[in-house]
Amino acid sequence: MEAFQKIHPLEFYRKFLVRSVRPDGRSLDDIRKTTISTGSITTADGSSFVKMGNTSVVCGVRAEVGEKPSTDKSKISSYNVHENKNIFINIELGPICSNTFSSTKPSDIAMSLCSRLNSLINRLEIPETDYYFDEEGKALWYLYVDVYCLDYDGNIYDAAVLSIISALKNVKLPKGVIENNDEYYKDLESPQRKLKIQHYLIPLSFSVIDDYILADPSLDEEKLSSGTINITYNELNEICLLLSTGTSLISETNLKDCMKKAKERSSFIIDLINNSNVDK
Amino acid sequence: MSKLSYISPEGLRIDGRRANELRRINVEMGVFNRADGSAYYEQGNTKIIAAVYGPREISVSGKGVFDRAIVKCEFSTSSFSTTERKPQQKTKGDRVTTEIANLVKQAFESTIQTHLYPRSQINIYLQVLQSDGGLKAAAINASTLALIDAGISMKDFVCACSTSCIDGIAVLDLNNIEERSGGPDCLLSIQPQLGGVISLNMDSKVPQDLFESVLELGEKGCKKIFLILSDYVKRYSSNLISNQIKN
Repeated sequence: MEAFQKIHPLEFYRKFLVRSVRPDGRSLDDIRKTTISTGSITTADGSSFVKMGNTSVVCGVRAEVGEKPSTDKSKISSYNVHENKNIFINIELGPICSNTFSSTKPSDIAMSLCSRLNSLINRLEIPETDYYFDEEGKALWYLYVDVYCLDYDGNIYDAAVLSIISALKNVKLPKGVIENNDEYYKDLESPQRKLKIQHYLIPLSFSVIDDYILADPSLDEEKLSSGTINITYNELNEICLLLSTGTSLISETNLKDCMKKAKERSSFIIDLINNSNVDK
Repeated sequence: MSKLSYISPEGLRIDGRRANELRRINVEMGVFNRADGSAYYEQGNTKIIAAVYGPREISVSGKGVFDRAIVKCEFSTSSFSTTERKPQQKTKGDRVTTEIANLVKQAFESTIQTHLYPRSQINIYLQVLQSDGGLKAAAINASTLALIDAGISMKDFVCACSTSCIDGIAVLDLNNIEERSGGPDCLLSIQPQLGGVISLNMDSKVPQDLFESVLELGEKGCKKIFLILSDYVKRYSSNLISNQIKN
């Protein structure tokens, strides 16, 4: 049995898929057990730990004060005005999480994931006044979000998105005071504030093996798959990101099916994020 | 600015410990499925995870040794682990992290029975989640647990502990604030059962008699850590065995 799995992994999977189950006991639509906990890293301004099955990621946010960028139109013409410039996301897939990653250069997966997440973060629509360090906004907070994968067992995208949003919801910023134009102080006595994050992000990824579509794929399934679909909704059921990659074609009915499943997950995810961020 | 008093007249330190007390140690083995061995180690606010891959084929051909295994270690800190954010490029490969990686590598090259695994390599990856002093010691202790979890033959545990002296008093297991007091920083790592000293790093000048008391305290600290670790390892392995019998 084990030898069969090693030698003919695809054939091994097909035998299961015909009966609409997966080797780990899940049905095709089942999602692995997901847990979120926040605030475990006290040196960070906000942190979270997300586990989806065996995939585990830890995310930390550090806030730094910086000057407000010049609003000179001629200089920023090449940028999208609505683009977020206050949150920087970085994801690290190091050798610790899987032996397929090298330590010297970031992998392609990490780089493409990073750019996707950086554009996705705009969908949170955090008002610009929320980054103000002081009352007038002469200086701004810059949030550095670092995601570290500790155990890589597939579907890193979902885990990363969940960890980022719950870490951002965990961020507490102190009130700032500016004196003499360039002396920044944190007012540690007055209560800290949270970011006003207006939207949730509800991610769900699928892998395509032959004609079967598997929700929340594990690493073995990702390796065998001929295509992946990432769908991210917000709580209003608006599509924030829809990405389908791979070599196989995906029919419209299948895609609609996937979108329906992603929508069904939204209330569960919102509860999960909210429950993880209850003030103790 | 007044000088911070590290030890109160009552003999208590900043975090309320006595001079010879360790911080609370919390350990867990087998935290990852993908790695051959893994461990989580928490000492006070210092949190570190270790993963071990191997013994496996040598990644760079020509680097192998025909009669024993080589040990490689990589140490990196998360950019949110300290109070000041470190840019991504500096979280690994700078002098301090390379020094710690080398320290771990040397400690375990002499402790792992490398002759049992010829022409192979053993990789130790360490990731700091939160740093509050005593990183080197935590890195060594975490690696010990991860190697045990991987089932790699070792002659003994390696237990490490940092000591220093502040205002003429020897103190055990420094936290971040105490580490910056400017006192001598002494890292002692030993094989507690065989009684060998693996490494002793001391980077300051200290009178001879004070040094002896620092060293003595360090040894006591290492032995205390050994008791905690071995107790956990025994519990963990007996759990594994009882689970296996059930199945």
